[in-house]
Amino acid sequence: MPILGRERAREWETVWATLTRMDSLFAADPEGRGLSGMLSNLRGFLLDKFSKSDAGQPAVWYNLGFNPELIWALGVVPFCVSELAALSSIVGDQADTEAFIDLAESKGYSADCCSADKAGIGALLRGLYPEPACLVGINTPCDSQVAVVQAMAEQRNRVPLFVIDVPPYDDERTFRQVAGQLRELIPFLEKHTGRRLEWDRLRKVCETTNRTSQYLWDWMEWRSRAPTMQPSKVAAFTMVLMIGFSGSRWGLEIARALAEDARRKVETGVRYFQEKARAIWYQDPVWWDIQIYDWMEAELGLVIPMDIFGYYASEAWIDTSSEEAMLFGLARRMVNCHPMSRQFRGTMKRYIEDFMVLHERFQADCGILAGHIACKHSWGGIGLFKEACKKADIPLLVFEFDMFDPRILTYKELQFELKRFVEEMVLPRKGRAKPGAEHGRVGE
Amino acid sequence: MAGLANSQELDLVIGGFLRRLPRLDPIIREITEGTPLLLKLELKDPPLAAEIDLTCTPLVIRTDSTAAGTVGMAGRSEDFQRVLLGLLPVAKGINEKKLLARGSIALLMKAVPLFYVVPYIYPSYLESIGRADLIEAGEYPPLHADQPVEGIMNQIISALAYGAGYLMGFIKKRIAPRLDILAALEAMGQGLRKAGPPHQV
Repeated sequence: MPILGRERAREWETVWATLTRMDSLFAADPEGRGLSGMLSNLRGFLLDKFSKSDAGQPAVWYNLGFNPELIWALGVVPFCVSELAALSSIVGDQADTEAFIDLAESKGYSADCCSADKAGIGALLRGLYPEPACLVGINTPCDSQVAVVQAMAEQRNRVPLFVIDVPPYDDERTFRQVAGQLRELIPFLEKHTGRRLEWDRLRKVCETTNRTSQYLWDWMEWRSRAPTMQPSKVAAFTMVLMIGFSGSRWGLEIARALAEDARRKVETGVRYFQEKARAIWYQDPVWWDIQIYDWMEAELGLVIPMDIFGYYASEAWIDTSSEEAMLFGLARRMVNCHPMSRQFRGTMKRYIEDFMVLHERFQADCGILAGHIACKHSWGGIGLFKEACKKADIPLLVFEFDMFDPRILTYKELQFELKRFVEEMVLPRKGRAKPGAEHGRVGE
Repeated sequence: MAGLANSQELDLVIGGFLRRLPRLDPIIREITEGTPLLLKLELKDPPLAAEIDLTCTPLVIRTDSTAAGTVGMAGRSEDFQRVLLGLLPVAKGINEKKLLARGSIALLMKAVPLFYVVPYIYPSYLESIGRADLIEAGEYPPLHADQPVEGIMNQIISALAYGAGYLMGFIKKRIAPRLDILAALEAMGQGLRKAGPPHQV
């Protein structure tokens, strides 16, 4: 299916055709309006990017930890290098994502790298993004990103690269240090894109980000109620939103669609399954088949009210009163609110603390650590995390899998792990609890 | 609505319908855009597992396989029966967790249009096997969001197809109640195939 009347790479056309079909399918059902709102704005976002690229506007490539406000403010086109691989998994053909992974490995990139990076590198090797005017690399949201920044630089070794080096701390000094790097990034972007940054335009972009933040906080509030009415499969979308859409009207509309859908579902109060257990999903979501969340709800009564990719911390507000304040706000948000960037730098302290906060706030019964095999940081601290859960008397399921590659842990194997945990650990434990001691949702 | 009491009856009714689908191979390939997918249907209460295998030509229906399929749909037999009748649109079924989908979204979206077409032929199939009792009376919701037909040629062909459908319906209801709609569609499929090479698989 051509996009804007032009033939594109097959992978882009597959994503586009699938999005179009999904939007058309789910828009027809009132229960699907939230999902449809997300899908139609995702389509708008892609159309906007293709239309600007077709018109010859410069493109800037970046990796997963960067937020594109400065790029939007310059009026150029942002492309996260893992974007197409992620879209192929979530709203396209999973086989394309696996092909990207295989291509990267066949060209010598280590199989031990994160699949998000390998798939991104595979898409780069296939030449699926418009040629960049310059590159922005960042060492967040996790250390693995260094690999993709290196690959990006190697792939386009004549294109200028700017690297943002985020320290492993989360204090004000860190924010100021990163804000200083963003200040240096501006003339770099201006020089290579030929655009001049207008601060008033950046202010508007930051205001859009602030409105988006408000919707995300509202969304979290509606999802924290028990029972959770909105499907578990949308719990992880904050991460996607921040990487690709931050500061754009598409991102704002997606956040609004999510929040309003969550509110409407709570107010309507119609439920289609019996909620028996609530879990904080504390690692990477099952992007390769997000429909498995429907199975968890329908067959196990297991709800994921929030996961680490969905959690949006409260330090995201950007003060737009001055240039310095905006850069400080953007830096703080990128370092301390971007899912994973917040938890996967430095020590395990924040990683564990955030889990405990989410567990309490979202009235969870248990935790599920879906251990993405390349997440060295979470596996490195798994002993501390298990110990903390044991002390807090929180049942925890830990298993190895890969968020973009079902060949590591298959659908059936994942079903088996979840079913055994819920039916043999979580539900019997809830059944033994004294009335009132737990959340009392069994049998609702 | 009378229910499907056991697996044998389910296999006879829904399984029997699926086993007739190879007759419509060219039409199904047009609907699924020639995508080589294997759609697994897993029904329960009573149980039935079936595959629509579009990886080979003509397509093959199996009700005795344990293959996982490239994409899948699972649900209660009663709900699936409502999908076939057009009483439960696929999107509603998924949103209400009555239908559990599995597999690549892109491939699923290629398979889903099958369920837009089936409700137009399933009731006449039920009549043909003497199970009109399974046809539920009531409000039939729109199966799919109304889409404008783009392009003058598409509009002409759609109008002709509507006219042919209306004529078939008129004849079946007023003149020849035993008119075989599947045979008519099969003939249309043969015409499609004769006119040009089918989707390559």
